Amino acid sequence: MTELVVSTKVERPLVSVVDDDESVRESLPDLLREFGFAVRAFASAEEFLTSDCVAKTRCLILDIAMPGMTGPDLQHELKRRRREIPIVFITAHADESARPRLIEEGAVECLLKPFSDTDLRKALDMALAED
Amino acid sequence: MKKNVFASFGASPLDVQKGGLPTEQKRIAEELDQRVAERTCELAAANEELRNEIAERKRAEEALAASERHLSLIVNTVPGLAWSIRSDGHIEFLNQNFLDYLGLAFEQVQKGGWTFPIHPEDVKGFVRAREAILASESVGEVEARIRRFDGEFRWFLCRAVALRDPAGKVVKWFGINFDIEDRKRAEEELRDTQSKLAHMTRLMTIGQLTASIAHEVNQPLAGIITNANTCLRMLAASPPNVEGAKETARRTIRDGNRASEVIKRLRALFSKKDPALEPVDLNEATREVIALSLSNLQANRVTLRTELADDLPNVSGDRVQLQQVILNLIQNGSDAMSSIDDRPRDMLVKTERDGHEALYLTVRDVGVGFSEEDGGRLFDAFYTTKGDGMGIGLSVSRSIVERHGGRMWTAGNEGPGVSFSFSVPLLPEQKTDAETTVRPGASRSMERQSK
Repeated sequence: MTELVVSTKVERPLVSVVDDDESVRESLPDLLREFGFAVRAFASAEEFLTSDCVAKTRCLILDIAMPGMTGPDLQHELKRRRREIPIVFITAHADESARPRLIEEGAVECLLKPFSDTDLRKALDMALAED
Repeated sequence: MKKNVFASFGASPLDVQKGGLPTEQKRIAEELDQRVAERTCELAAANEELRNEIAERKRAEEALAASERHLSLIVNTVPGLAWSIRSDGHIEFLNQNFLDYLGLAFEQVQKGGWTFPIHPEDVKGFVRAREAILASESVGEVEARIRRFDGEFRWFLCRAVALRDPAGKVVKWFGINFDIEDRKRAEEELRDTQSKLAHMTRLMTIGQLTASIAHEVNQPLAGIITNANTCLRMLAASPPNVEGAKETARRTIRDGNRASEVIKRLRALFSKKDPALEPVDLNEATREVIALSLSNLQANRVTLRTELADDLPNVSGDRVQLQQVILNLIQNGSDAMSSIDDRPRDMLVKTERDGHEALYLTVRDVGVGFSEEDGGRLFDAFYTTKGDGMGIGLSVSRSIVERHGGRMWTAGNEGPGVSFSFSVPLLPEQKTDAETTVRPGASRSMERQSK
């Protein structure tokens, strides 16, 4: 009962997932909801930018390689719009070399797929603390 | 001499002089004088002749010696190790170059025997060459290592001929050995480089594949792990969210199957290592390569479109090799568009039938294209227009296609970019089948049978 009262009083923070891979778009929101977040999933960067979530999103979980606008492209676009949402990158390319550059550009973390729930949780905590 | 003659006859003419010189005596004296003069002349001539003969002989001897010196100079300075050996193996002659090379006196070599300076592994080559020369009656040659004065073995090309007696029996062997160490070393370096290159090409292709594979497998794995984590959390909640857990478990299974599909495709790509020709479904082979290239294409923001013709008969080929060619063309097309930002990076992969003989596949890009000068050299090994390319892919691709009895060519598009195409012949039985069968259904059933 007390939990319910809290959740109605404090709005759950919105986490947006942008990934062209369907299995990620299906699985990740459920886990994030289990963590206690509100979640919206998008199949492309363009879809996210044209949605009503850009202003509300507290943390962005963003795939790096996508057709059309890539994850880093979206990161730059948000910077240009002065809408700096904390970003946790996720990628299936087991290439560690991109990570330092992305973090230097302001990303909170870069997780290699597949990642564990605890790693994701840690990254989210960091992101929200930053926010 | 004349004086002496006079002296010997002088005793008696004294009386004559006293008595007033009778005519008879005078005549005899004159005759004698004349004979003496004649004889003297003859002797002088003979003497002269003898002298000439001696001089002549001396000249001939000198000429002979000069000629010998000349020959010896030739044989000793000719840039090679010249030798002659009797048929019983007795060393008859080694030129100065040979002795200098060995650092031994002739007698030492003679004592050691002809095999003495030759590398033990190479002696049997001489035996074989000897037999070959005996059989063919021509020049024989063998490559062998010969030990230098400092102990280093160097490679030589040894050429020999047999000198035979009128009955055809070999009397002796003449030969000359040329130092081919530098050539040999260059050959080895070339072989080494070639094998390194072949390995590198394979590694590059496999490297590209591995990146694709990792990506393809990591995507469903991410889904599986996230779903399983969610599932556990849903079941651990109180009360447990059983419906939610069921749904996540179902998705876990689906993603597991997706991962296993990737592995199956992989196995199909690598299982056939034998380069033997087999019936290949070009469309299916193309689809597999595309599936594995998708992540790379996406990373390069390339939109891929396919136009794979229906009801294509099988071609005859090595599936993996043909897939490497397709992969290479797709990779090249993608690379050619990496700097294009003013238009969509569109790529088309198309398969078509070329009459009754062959199928062809085209990869069309809208990339930077190439100049006329580049166009003529695109298929040359080590020629590249890319900053980071090695210029191997297209040359290897073309050789694969040509080994399949096909052709590879390139053409500029009407718009931007280029098209690369290759053809592969149909299976022999399908060529005749295509000529006699009109119904497409029939050729499809044939295709199934031949699989």
